[in-house]
Amino acid sequence: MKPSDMLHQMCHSLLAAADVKALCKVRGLASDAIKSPGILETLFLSSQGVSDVLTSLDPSEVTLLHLLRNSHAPVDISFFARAYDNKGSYGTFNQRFQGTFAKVKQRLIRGGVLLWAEGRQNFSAQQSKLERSRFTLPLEFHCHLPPLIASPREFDGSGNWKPNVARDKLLADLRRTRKKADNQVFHVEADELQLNGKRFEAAQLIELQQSGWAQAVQTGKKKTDFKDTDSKQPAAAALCILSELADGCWADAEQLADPLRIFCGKKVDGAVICEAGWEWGLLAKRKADGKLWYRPAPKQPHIAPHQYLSPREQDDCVSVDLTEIPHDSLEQIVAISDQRLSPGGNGSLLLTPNFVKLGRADDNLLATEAVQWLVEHTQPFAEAYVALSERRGKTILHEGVTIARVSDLSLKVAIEKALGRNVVSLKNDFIAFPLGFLPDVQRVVKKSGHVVKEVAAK
Amino acid sequence: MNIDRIKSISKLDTVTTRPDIRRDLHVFLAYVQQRDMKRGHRDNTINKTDARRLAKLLSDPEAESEVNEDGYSTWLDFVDRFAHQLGLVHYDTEGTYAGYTSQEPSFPDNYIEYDAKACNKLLSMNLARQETYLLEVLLNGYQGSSSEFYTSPFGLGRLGWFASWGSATGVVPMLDFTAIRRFLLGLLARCPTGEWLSVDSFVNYLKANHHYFLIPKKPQMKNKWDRDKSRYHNFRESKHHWGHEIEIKETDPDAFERVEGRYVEHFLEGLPNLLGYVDVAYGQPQRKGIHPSFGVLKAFRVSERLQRALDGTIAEPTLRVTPNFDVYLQSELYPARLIRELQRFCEHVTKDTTNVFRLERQRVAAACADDAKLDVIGLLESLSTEPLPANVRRELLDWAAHSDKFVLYSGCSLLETNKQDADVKRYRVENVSAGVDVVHLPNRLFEELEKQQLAPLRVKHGQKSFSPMPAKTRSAFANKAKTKRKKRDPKTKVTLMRVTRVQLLCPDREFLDRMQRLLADASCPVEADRKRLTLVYSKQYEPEVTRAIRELKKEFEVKIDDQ
Repeated sequence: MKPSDMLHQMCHSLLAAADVKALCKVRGLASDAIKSPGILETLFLSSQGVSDVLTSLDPSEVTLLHLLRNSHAPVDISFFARAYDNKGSYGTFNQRFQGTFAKVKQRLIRGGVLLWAEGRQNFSAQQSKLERSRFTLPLEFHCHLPPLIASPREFDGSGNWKPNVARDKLLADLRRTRKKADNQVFHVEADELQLNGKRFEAAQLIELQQSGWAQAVQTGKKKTDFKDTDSKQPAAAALCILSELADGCWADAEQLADPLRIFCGKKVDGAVICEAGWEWGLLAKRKADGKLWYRPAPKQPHIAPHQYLSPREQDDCVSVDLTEIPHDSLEQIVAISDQRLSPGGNGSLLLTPNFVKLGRADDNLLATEAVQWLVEHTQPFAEAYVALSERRGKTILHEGVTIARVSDLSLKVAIEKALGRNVVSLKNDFIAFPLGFLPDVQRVVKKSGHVVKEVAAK
Repeated sequence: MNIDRIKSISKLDTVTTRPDIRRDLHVFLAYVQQRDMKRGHRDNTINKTDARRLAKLLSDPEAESEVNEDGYSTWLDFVDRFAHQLGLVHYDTEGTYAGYTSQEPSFPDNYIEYDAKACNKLLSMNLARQETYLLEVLLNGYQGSSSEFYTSPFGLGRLGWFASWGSATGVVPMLDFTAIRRFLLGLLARCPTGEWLSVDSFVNYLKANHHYFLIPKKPQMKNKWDRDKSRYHNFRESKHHWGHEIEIKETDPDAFERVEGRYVEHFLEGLPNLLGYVDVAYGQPQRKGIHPSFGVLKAFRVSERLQRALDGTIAEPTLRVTPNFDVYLQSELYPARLIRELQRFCEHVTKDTTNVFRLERQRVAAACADDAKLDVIGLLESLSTEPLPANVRRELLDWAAHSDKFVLYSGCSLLETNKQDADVKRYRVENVSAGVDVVHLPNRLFEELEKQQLAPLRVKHGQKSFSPMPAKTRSAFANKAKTKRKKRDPKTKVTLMRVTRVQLLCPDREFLDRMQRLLADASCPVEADRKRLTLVYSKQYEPEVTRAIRELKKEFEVKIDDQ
């Protein structure tokens, strides 16, 4: 359901006169909006009064709206139960969530910050109006949301963080003597560095860290059975909340407790979660006033290619220092070269150019700093790059075209006239045209009294 | 053989035309070949849609009306059954019992399958062999209660039958109808041809010379409880259709005519009539009110075709091509194979004993395009009794060459490369020019080109436009892609209706009523509020209101004060 449709439905059919009156009063909208649903629909998304309403909300309501902002689709009334105490988990849907709905209506709908609409009746299962109700926070109001952590502490510096968690795993896996151990995720297979059986990509490293963090905070049970899809897992929730912090701002576990409870739909231990996040290199921490303060780990610093790449003239390859190379650069060079482990077992890779991979690389990849350094400072990559530049664009395989030989000049002219720019004349009476024009061409051929002789691909 | 001629047949109803089983068989097969025909789940018959279409194609003029009225056609059912008997089509005839309580079998998903191998085998025979094959199948079938005594097995006929009550016992199961039919055909072949002969005379001849041609003198019954039964135990007459109360005794003087005579009548209007070996003529029954009918078939005329069919000397069709591009195909029987051949590159103009075709340029070119090995001139020359006219030969050569004017390479891709030594032989369908090839298997070729270190690019073009070529590429397709112009979003059309309403405040109710009445007379819509003494109207009715005020000015001194 689109927010614009929800707004229209809410203004024209769902809101009662008293609701509209209250909404206009709280938001300070013009009195015309009370009389006309159309005017209310127009004025609702204006910023007038939104900040005042949002700042007047409870911290739990603000957290709820932050979580709602992160939802991809409108939510149902059960979403709000985590912030407003509901009577319990027994009874019909209406009995369980009527109280919640009353509070949502009072605080958020009449406050003019929430969109409300009713979904269509599902014919396979009869649903009540409340079950079909959906709610969302308009995109226009996102910027007015108060910060999740009301009073974060400001500190200078990036604090203490573990930048090499993934790198250490990479080095440990590559230094293993026993191949394909159970917990080994990095391999060099078929002259290529792979992560979980696929070509290495920097984004996969973040996923690896996140899944490690998620597993570390899992309590007892194998997998948390989240019935409501709107809740987040503790690790993801903590990262989401801390990502809201402004630069230089830090939060402690105590400040995270309430937001985490709303985000996870249950009470979780913020200190344990944050510590695990720090262990997995995704959070930075610092100690002050006897408390531990956290924020997302800073990005990896830029390192010049000469610090991690070194040509080895004796065997026509380039050595990569895995202890230094940034993850992005590693992904780039893996995409254009063959890799093998250094015989010394010192945690470095040896690169040789792979012409097939180079041929598949797009211009953006070839223009990256690491690839350009290889081309400029190493003989094999320079030669491969020159050969590539010479050959690129000279062998082209066209697909989705139909090729025909037309040995009758008048027919050829008729086809060219019918297709205009969409036909390419080749030598020796051959023509090519997009596949979709085949019926038009067949029509021209038939009209001119000729027949189509078909040669099918084997 | 001395059989009486019929001097005049003017009072008889002669049957000299009949549906052509040979033609209809091939029409049916062609139809089945082109479509998936599913038979009825319950009754295993051809469904009504297909039956209606087929009835239009068959040569029986009554088939279409029969299907429309009754849902089935006797002739269509016979053609269908005959094709199945010949093994040219296959379908389930046994069915399955859906459950323990099922009274009848069901035929789920019973599709008619066309047997291309058997059909091609039949078509490959010459006409004489085809005729012998068809005749043999017809002679061998329809035994016992399915014989001419009890049904009309060949889809034709108007005579009544004996009731089949008790036909599974007695003399009928031991009769060899194949031998009986073959014997009678042999006798017919000895009859004079082209003359109407008396059926009574023929029966009398049989009675005198071949008294036991049908039922042996002392039939050896298989079952001991049948041994006491007479020779004619299975055949009983009745005064109504399905009865069997009148016994035919061997001692009756006309017993032979009543049993064997009836069989001869049924036989003549059956197989020989179906295959066009005899014509028959019907008259009034000898004995009215007795079933089955007796002595209705009065005369028959034997065709010369019978002797030729039995001898296997039916002539092959002859073909003649005229200078005006007409092809005359003359044949005694339906020349299915030749018609199929000629229909590939000719228009079938006349369908009769002489089939006329017309050679057409586009059809010849299309046939040559479809089948590169087709030699139209060679084929016509091999079939024709006369040499091809020179102009026809010349034109055919030209038309055949026409098939190469537009050659379409379907499912192929195009490879452009500047490397003359690129190894693409295995993938090449046609070489366009140096470095440009029509190729197939693009995925494998691309991998091959990558292995050859040619840094190939793959361009997937759109359905209706060429994709833009990457920068720095050399291609015939460069500059062919349409430059995308950013389309402006169409503006939403909105019409605002502006209504200006004028309110008049009247001094009193009397003036308001007068004014309202005048405006009502002028058909001017006006809203009156008698409490507030107001009249509200749209500005477009200003002239009517002005006229009304002018009228009132005759009695009142009216002054309008705008506020």
